[in-house]
Amino acid sequence: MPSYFRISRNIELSLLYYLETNLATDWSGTTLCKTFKQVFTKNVSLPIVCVRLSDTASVRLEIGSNTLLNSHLLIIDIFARSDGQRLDMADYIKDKIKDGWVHYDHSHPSGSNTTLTRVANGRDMVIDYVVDSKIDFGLDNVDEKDQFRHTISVRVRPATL
Amino acid sequence: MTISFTITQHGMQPKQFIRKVENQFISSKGAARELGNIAQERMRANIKESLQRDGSTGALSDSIKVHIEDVGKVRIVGVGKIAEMNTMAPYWYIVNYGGLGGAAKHGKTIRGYYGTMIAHGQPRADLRGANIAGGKGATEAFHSLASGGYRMTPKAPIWPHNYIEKTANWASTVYRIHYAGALRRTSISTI
Repeated sequence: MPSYFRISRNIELSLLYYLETNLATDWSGTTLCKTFKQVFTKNVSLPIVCVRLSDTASVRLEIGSNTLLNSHLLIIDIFARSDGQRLDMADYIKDKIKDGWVHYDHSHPSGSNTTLTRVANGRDMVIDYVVDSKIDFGLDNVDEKDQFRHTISVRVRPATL
Repeated sequence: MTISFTITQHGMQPKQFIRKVENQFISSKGAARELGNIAQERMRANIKESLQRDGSTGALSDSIKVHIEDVGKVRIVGVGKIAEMNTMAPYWYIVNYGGLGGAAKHGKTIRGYYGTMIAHGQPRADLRGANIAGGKGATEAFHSLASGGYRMTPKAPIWPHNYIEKTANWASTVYRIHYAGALRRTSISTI
């Protein structure tokens, strides 16, 4: 029996897939990661884009309703080679995500936890930009991957709700 | 020719209208303060929930305070003032955004322990530890700089806790559901 992923994981993986396909075409050589652990692995080279679902805020859709209105906080960290690349990449990503992306329901086929199956199911929409900012640790004594960092955090909701 | 008018007033007297607006304005200012208070609690909870080491001093959580300023008819409610956080918990930036040891420096030297001081047999974090120079019992190194300060050099990256973004996500959701609709009904605009 296939193992189906739940909504939060599907949202995170859908954005990862969307950026992965776009970056492969428009920005070759960019590494896409899902965790900071992967980012700070020695053999991963710059530029890096790290996408993760950090948090979900839930409120009742309306009084008496059993449906929750979930806002998923997605954080996109950019680790660039230069300050110019940081700005360009931030603008590129903001432009790509502003109109939303295809939401996929993901699953593992029976007996396999390495193959990922995805089926399109509506779209994910950005409802708010929370933070869009340079991460400034200065330039001295800073790790190469921390020198030109940028963070974009967005609130996302599946359009199917 | 004479034209006669009879004017019949419907609704409120101007004075009543002004009083109504003032009352709504006062209640919306109170609501803004309340949202600030619960956002502060939420941010503090986010910080505590993401603690990864034992022995926290609570300095970062304590540095998150609500600041209210009224500028004319505009009420500004802020949660966490950077100047205060820089003093009380200068590592707030790197804890939120994560990074490596060298990145602990954000325009100023970070002073403090990260699991270095042994207190009652337990490692703990402390900004005011008496043993910074000696670093006895340290499990992670602090390196002295020429300026006489100390730079924190953790052996492993600090994972981003993103307590600011998490709070903003929560506050924005709560605002839209519980406050924005109520304010629209009162015809008071929000910035």
